[in-house]
Amino acid sequence: MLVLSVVNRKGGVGKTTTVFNLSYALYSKGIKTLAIDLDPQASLTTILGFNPDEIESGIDKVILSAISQNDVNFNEIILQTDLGFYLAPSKEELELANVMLTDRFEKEFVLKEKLNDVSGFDIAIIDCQTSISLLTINALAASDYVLIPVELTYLSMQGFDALMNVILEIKRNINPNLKILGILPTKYDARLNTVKRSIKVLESLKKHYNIFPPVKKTVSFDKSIERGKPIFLIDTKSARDACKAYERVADKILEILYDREVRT
Amino acid sequence: MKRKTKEEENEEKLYEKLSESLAKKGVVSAMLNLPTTKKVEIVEKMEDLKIERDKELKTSRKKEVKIEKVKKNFFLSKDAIILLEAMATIENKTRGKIIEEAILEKFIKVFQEYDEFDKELFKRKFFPEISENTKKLIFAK
Repeated sequence: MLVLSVVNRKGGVGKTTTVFNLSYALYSKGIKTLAIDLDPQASLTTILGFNPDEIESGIDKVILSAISQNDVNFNEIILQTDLGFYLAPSKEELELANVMLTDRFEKEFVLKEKLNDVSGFDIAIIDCQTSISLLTINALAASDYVLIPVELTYLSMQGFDALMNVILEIKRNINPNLKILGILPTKYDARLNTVKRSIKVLESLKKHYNIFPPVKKTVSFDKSIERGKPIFLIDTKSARDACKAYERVADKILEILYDREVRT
Repeated sequence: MKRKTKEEENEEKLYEKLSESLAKKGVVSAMLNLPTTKKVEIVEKMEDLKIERDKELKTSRKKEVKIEKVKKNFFLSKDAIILLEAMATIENKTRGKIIEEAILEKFIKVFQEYDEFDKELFKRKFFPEISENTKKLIFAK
């Protein structure tokens, strides 16, 4: 199973929206997809129609079982969504994991160990929390790839720069196999100066990073989130434009999955 | 054309700095991905390119032709970039992280100057590093 983390240190850049839409895009292409909500805010869980307070077991139980006698298998918490793909839901209790895991031996590898129990999926896509917490480090330690959504503003670009420090440290010390799938520019509005400047920076970085086409800013995303429907199922021109960027990311992942299959 | 205000100039500088920082990290990231066998293979290939380059420099008559050929065959090739990455990785593994950063800083500087190619600068900054330090380290393994 390929593991992909969607991460940025800056909030509101579209991490959850990306996981939501990418999971659907891949599922639609016949890929067995598991979305993992590793954010105690549980936004992904909520968008997908689950009430975090009513869920009996979330990923918090799986992570926290690593420090208790009560072992919880990852497969026990997986739910099927109405959209067809699967979800490992989150609850706010997950916040505890950041504190409780601190003293655990090899605390960075808890999620990786737990994911070993999961089978039957081609890909797991992790929605990371905004801060570089122990949970996010666990996600990066367990991942083959990282996708970085970047809002086209100075602060978000700075968040990307700061995140690169973390990624390089993870590659050096924790997970040498971690690769950057690419940068996904979000909330693209060509009229704004800050967007133009950010795009110019990204253009100059094309030889170093895989830069995906930008996701255009549109009110269709608000509709999409409110209705719990991926942008692919919103029938407006702006929604169709926005889908193209996610399609490109999904195609890139398909290439990787295909290469893996050929090699094995 | 409208003149830029001081604020606009400062903003542009901020973005330029960001771009440089991200470029450097992109190179480090790519370099960390390279397997050892690939690094050795690249360095060997680069040595061949160096020989070819020297030949061309000797046989070409006009300076501009020399530079064009050199650019075409070497400086604009992705291999040059990969070599920088590979070398820095090897240095890293051999001597530790602090040295890696220092060396990388130097290499990145050279790399950034590719577009405005200066042969003397390149020779002075780049080739001594390959022949003196890195080659020994690679082939001693």
